[in-house]
Amino acid sequence: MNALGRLLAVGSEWGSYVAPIGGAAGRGLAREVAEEASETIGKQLARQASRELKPVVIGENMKKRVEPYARRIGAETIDDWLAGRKWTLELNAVWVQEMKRQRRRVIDIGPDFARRAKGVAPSTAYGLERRLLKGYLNYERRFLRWRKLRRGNPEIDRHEPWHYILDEF
Amino acid sequence: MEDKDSIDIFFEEYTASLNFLVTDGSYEPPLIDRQSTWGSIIYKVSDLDIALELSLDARDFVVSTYIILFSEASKPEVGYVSLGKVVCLFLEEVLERLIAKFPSVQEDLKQWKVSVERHHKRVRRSLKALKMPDTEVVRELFRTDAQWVAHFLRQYREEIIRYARNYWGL
Repeated sequence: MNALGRLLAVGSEWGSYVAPIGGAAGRGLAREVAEEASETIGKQLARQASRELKPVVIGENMKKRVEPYARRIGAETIDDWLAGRKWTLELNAVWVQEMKRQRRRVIDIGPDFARRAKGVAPSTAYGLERRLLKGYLNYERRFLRWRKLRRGNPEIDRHEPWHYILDEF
Repeated sequence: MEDKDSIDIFFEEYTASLNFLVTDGSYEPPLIDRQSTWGSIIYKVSDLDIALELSLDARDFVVSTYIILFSEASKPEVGYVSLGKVVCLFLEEVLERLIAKFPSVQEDLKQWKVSVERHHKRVRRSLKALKMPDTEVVRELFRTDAQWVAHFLRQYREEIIRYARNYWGL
């Protein structure tokens, strides 16, 4: 059953509990209580539905880091949402807003420190995503930073293991 | 203005510059793959589990050139590392290992970086202004980088493969 279906079912169930109060006033009260309950439960179900949506992964280097990590943990990336459409900065911003609207968990695996160490400048698109996600409650950071060009995510990045002892997620 | 996106231009410029790898028979025809945000070209060395991979991050117009352990690094869930083993080396870090034997590599590496950076600055300027860069600027960037990669492979192909074979014990 989908979220809307569950919402309707729960609403009518509440209605039947309060119906025995009797009379027109009772029926009115029953309707009011049922509507209020539906609204509250609806919000809970919407939250639950958003939890059921797959989390999304952001970070630098789509091919070598973001996509492999997303596949490994059963998450999605902007490519799943774009579904073959041409990427633009505008669509990237729309995607972030859409993920926030859906209350998706956003997992950030951070900069590609190996690439940055080779002199590649920080990603503009990733920087935009970080700015748009500032203060977002379902944002989850899964990388470490140790000095400017060091560290990353231990599951996906090249590293010397002892560096991860310095900090925790 | 061309009606092509950066991934199309990437495929055109790199395959044009690196076609010699296939024509002389030492590499297999390129494996080309794309998504909305990236494109990749893989040239596998004939009869060897090693390949050259060019990977475009289309969101940043950054092309990374790798020497990969083909059977591992070409899996979609594998990035730099597989089961704790590095399966993807940057071409430039392999070239840096060759400096002791070929001192001219050092100057070439420096020139490579300088000339690519000059073009990439123009791309970044557009992105910072939240505009997509002009396709001609993108083409120049990719062409310059592709010609440098071709130069290194023409000059040091055997040494690069030898280093990779030793690295992965092949």
